[in-house]
Amino acid sequence: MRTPPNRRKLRLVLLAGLVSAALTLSSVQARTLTVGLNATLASLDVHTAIGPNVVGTRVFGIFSDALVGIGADGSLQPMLALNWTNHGTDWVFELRQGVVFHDGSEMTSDDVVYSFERILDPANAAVAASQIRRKISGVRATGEYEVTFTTPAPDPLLPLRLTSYWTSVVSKNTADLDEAARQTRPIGAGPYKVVEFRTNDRIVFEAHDAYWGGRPAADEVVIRFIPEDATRVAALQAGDVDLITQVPVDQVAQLEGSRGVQVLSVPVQSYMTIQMNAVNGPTADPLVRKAMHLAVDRELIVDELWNGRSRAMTDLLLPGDFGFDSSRPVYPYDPEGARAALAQSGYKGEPIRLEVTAGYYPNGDVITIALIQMWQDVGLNVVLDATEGSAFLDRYLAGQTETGMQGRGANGDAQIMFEDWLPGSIWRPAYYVPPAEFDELLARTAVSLDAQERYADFRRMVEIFEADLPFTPLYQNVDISAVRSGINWQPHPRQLLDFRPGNLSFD
Amino acid sequence: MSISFLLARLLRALLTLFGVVTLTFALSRLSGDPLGLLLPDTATLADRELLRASLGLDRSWLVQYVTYLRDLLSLDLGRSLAYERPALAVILERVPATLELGLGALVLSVLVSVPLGLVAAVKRNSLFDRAVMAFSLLVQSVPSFVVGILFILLFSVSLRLLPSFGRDSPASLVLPVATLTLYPLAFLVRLTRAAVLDVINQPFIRTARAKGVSPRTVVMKHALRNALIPVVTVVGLQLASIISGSAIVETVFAWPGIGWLAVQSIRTRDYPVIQGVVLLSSLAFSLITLVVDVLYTFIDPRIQYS
Repeated sequence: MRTPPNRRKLRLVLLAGLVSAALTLSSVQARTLTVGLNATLASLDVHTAIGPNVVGTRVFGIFSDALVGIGADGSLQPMLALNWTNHGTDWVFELRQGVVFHDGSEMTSDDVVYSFERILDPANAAVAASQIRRKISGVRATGEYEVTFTTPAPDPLLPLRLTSYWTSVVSKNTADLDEAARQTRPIGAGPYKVVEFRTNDRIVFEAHDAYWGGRPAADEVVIRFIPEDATRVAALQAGDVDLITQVPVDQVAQLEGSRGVQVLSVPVQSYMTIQMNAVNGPTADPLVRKAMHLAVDRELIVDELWNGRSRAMTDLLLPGDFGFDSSRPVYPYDPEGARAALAQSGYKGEPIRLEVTAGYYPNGDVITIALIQMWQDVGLNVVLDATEGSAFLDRYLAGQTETGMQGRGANGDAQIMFEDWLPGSIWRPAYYVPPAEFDELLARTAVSLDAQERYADFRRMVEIFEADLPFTPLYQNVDISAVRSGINWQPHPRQLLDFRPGNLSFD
Repeated sequence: MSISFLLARLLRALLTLFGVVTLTFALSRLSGDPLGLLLPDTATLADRELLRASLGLDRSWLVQYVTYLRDLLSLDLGRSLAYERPALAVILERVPATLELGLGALVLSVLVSVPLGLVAAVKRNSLFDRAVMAFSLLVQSVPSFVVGILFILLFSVSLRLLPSFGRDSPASLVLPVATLTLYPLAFLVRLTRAAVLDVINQPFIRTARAKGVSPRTVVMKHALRNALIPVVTVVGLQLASIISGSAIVETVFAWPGIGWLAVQSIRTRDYPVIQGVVLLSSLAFSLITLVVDVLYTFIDPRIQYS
């Protein structure tokens, strides 16, 4: 029996109504961004958590802001502070007004002072903040929206140091929380607030409507901890997560072939080196170090083992670091020069132990094998000694490493990298004691506010290191992420998961 | 079963646990210093010493050991170095996830393996028997992390039937339990088959058959019950392989249990958590072997303990 036309019309109208209701519902549905992260966090207390580490860098910025931000180009940007001025050993920061914490309270200088008192408290020894403790001698409120930091000596880098996640500002109401609440429900002023934290499982954030930078695009951000690389990649392909970090290089091609997935890579502010012991063992001979330096074909490594995603090193510094010289070519690959250096040296083919933390650095295992081949080709008897991470660290800190793979970075200013060789550093006597000239230059650049003078000094320090070769730079590190189509997001060179308005939107 | 037997068994279990505590304490410290992993590279000697003192690691091993034993008596496992919370709390909150996974795997492996092994034995040399044996050999040869990833690729990525990771819903349990089950399952199938074959050739089975007892009753009542003794022993022991297997399976499936915690704690040298995980696992294992011993008397009334 045919349906009467009127009833058919009625059905169509009803159907249209249902469809439009469904569409309306989906358009008001919460936008959730689920992220598969490779490592876990034990605590969300930004000032006392163990670090610094990449997972902290990635996550803490989701819910907490620091006084100063850092742009993708390395430039300093106003965050909770609008501007900053130097007066010798004082740095005065003018605070942004109208910043609201996740508990609804408004940020004033009291919150900043409270935060830095926590950071500077030596009782919080096991924290990344120990890095900045020696750089600040006092913090005081000099107005409701003004804070003055005092440094032991003039410090041109204080604003840069205050971009680190462990210098984030929390509400002074944190003092009223017990330890468990401080670790699981921190009161930050970042774009998202923590609503649930299950260690080893997930962190759930919701958008902070009153965020000073505007309401973020995602209503909810869920961080899921997925340590296994293959599972993380599969979770993205299966649609269980929207974005994953730390994609292994060998999985990139597979992901690029997946429909609806986009692979994004960004060079980060650090690079890999081969550290060579200039005090003990076969590499104590400078000619052996020179041979190791010259025998490495960096461009081949970048082209073949990184598929061109990395950058062969040209300097001890990176684009974006103050002190970098952009005019330099890639370090030369000169096997003949390496053989000539070895012929002049006292090296008799004794084994040189290359200590590598197996599976630790992205792509590190394959590159190590290539490097050993390059060295053996010129007559260097480099043997692989793959160790577990903590065992490597023990040997390194005890000064027992001959050569090893190591990451380095200046994080924006050459001073930060060269400070690893400050007189008094634990490992300086065991690995490399720079000449007195270096110590003088380092002491000068530490307090100088003259950019031209600092630049010239840094270039001289690079020359000293390139003559002595306590390490040889290889390639710039790359952070590879993958994201589902329809999500517009760009990875940040500092590896923070920037989901602020302006860097995250949905189609 | 006498009370004195139970007491003697409990005492032995306590001695085992004492040995485990001592060994784990020594081994975790022999593996190296956790400070390097807790502090940034730029930390000074003073930072290191300050942290060492605040964690109580500046005291001699003997003092640390005695303090640890004393605290253990009040169920204080110490404070986790990584989580900055009591280690016991860190471990206990992960127990339900691991129990879910471990018991699921144990129950599933027994439920599937005993019938499979029994039928394979009864139909010895049949196609079914050969297929079951080939399957168990294959499963025992493939590492669980490979099986886990293959399961994810098949059931999550290709078929989109099951979640690829995490512990969100009952469906999340399927792949990790299946992965963890395979090894004990294969082992138990082979064992059940061998045990049943052994019993089937005994004179009392022949007698039962001669008496005209139905083949079904011969197998189910006479053969299986007698074959179960070695199987029950091994099921208890399989708990150990499930506990150790959970470290891999939990990491592959991002399952928030004790296995994954153990892997992380070893990496960060979180002594109190490592010691706690090993202690609790040993405790569970000791209890299970005790239960198995008690179960014997029910399965075979001839077994008497005195």
